[in-house]
Amino acid sequence: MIKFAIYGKGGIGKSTLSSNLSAALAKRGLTVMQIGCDPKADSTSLLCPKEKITSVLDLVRSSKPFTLEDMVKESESGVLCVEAGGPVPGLGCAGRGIINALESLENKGAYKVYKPDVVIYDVLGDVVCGGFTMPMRKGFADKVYIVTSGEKMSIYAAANIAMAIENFKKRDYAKLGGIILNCRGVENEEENVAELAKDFNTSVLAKIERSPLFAQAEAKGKTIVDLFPDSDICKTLLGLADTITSDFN
Amino acid sequence: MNQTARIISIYAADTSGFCSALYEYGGMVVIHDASGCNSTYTTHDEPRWYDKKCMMFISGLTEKDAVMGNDDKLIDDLVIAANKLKPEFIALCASPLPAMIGTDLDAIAYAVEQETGIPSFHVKTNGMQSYITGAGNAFVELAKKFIDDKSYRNSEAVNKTEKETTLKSENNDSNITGSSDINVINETSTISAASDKIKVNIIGVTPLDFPKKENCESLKKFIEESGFTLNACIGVDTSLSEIKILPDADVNLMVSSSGKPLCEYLYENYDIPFVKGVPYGIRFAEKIKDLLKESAKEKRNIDATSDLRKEGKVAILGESVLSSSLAAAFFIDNGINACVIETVGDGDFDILKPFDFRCEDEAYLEEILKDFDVIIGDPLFKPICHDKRFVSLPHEAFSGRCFTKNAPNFIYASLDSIEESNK
Repeated sequence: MIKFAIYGKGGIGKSTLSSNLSAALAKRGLTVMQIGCDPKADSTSLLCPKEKITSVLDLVRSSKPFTLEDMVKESESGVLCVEAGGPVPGLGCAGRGIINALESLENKGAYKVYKPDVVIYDVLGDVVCGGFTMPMRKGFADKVYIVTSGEKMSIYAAANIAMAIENFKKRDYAKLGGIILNCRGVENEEENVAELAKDFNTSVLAKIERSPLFAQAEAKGKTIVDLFPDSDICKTLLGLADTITSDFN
Repeated sequence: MNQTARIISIYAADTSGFCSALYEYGGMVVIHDASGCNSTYTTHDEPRWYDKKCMMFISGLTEKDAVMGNDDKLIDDLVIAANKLKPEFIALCASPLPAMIGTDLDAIAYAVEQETGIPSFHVKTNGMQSYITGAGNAFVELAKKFIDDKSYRNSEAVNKTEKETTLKSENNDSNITGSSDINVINETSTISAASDKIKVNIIGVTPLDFPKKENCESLKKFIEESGFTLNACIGVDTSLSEIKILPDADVNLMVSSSGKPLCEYLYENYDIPFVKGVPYGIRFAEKIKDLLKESAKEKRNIDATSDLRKEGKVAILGESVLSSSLAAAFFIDNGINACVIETVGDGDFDILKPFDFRCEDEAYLEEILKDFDVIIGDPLFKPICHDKRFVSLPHEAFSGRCFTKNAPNFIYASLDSIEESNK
């Protein structure tokens, strides 16, 4: 089973990229499960635009018995979608919520029942406490891919995440799989990201150009892979999906 | 008020179960918690505290360490202590605070094992479940860490060859050590030899359920006098070497809910079936003896109480396996029908009958008890038992050491002594 997590600065496009990767991997014939690890519970909105997925923590909050099927919704493209969810904004503990949600999913046998070929953890941008490292802990993702643009703050956040992964080496956590450049059109963008990759002894796996197609696809509640299958961006995304699967093989 | 205990006591928590289960295995047992006092977890309900040593520690977690995620301090302390004490293993568990902030004790155990070379593991607790969960998880993690699959398979092969070699020698009426060529051994003879030497593990013994020395001695006596070989007794009067040979047994005797996870683990991974029940009384113990043979032969898990229960006006309060076993023993030995009221709120619920109750709420329990004529339970239940006839049966996990010396021992013994003990 291929299990990886997508990390990066808030608003950098992690959920958009995760959903497109899920769609791309599904297109390659793989069973994909995408787990949104963000209290906002909007990771899979491009995959399941018609109905809001009931998050795991919403089910836990209801105090009623619930099944695995209540937690997992299959998208039109066949991706198994899960949203961890979180407490009421401003209250409770979101980090603990992620732990609780991922444990609930495991305890209900999600991986054994659905037997996904690929599991993608789409994690909240600001890794503010231990709960948000849960997806990179042993038994969850094996690799972490960091999404960044060439903007200073994005690179700063990416470096912090890479440093955390480095620090967790002795804990047998997920390894850094590489960096994905999501272009914002800033000056020296490629050079800045290449330097970041060099600093952490890793590589830039893909460069995703800015494109109006992202906004058009989002407006229609679809992924680029599903809506614009012949576009260059789609080819890049499919190529990235292949790179990741071969990285695991 | 629901789920509130105003009058009665509450059961020992999972952290206490963790300590109790691992007490005798020579490991360094560490609870990640703010407290520095062991009595919270062990001394009040641990009769072994005064005559058996155990390396049991509290990490001394501070608010600053919790807020700052200062896990390295715990790792450093563990490494220093382990290098000094040279324990057989290091076991970690969480109190509510680290459980809530999601401290990754699996990762900390991994880091410590890498640093010291000492087998280290984490047992899942959160300080809010019962002792049954803590002890059950601890037994399984210990088994996972110390049963060596490879050597087990080798020893299985050796045992098989030895058994068959002996048999061949006997068949040939010769004193010459036989050949190890197993292909020539007659299959029927092999089965008969194996059934003569049924090896039994007793699983799930902790002082929280079996506080007196006599309890464990009676369990062992039952196994030996029934013609079985005792392979291991988990986890009183035991050692780490017994954990390593657990898969050598033909059948397991599960004597408490705390033993259930390990019994299931051994069944799933080593095809060792289990019989569920405590050999209380004389006839019920006989029944368990027969069922152990049947289970070993048919490789089938058996609930010894299943067809020995009828609804009655006697209520037995407490842990499900012990209480159901006592009810079954009353039925077969004394013709008394009894209902079980499971009061821990945790453990093996499969053993309960439709007429039994699950009740961890004091007010609800008080109401239920009005319908019974006789109530058997820990003395701390007595204040909510109205004017009913109350028979005292102390339970260490509920009242600690308060009443242990008066606790009767019905294991492999007549149940009539219950009257004596309550005079």
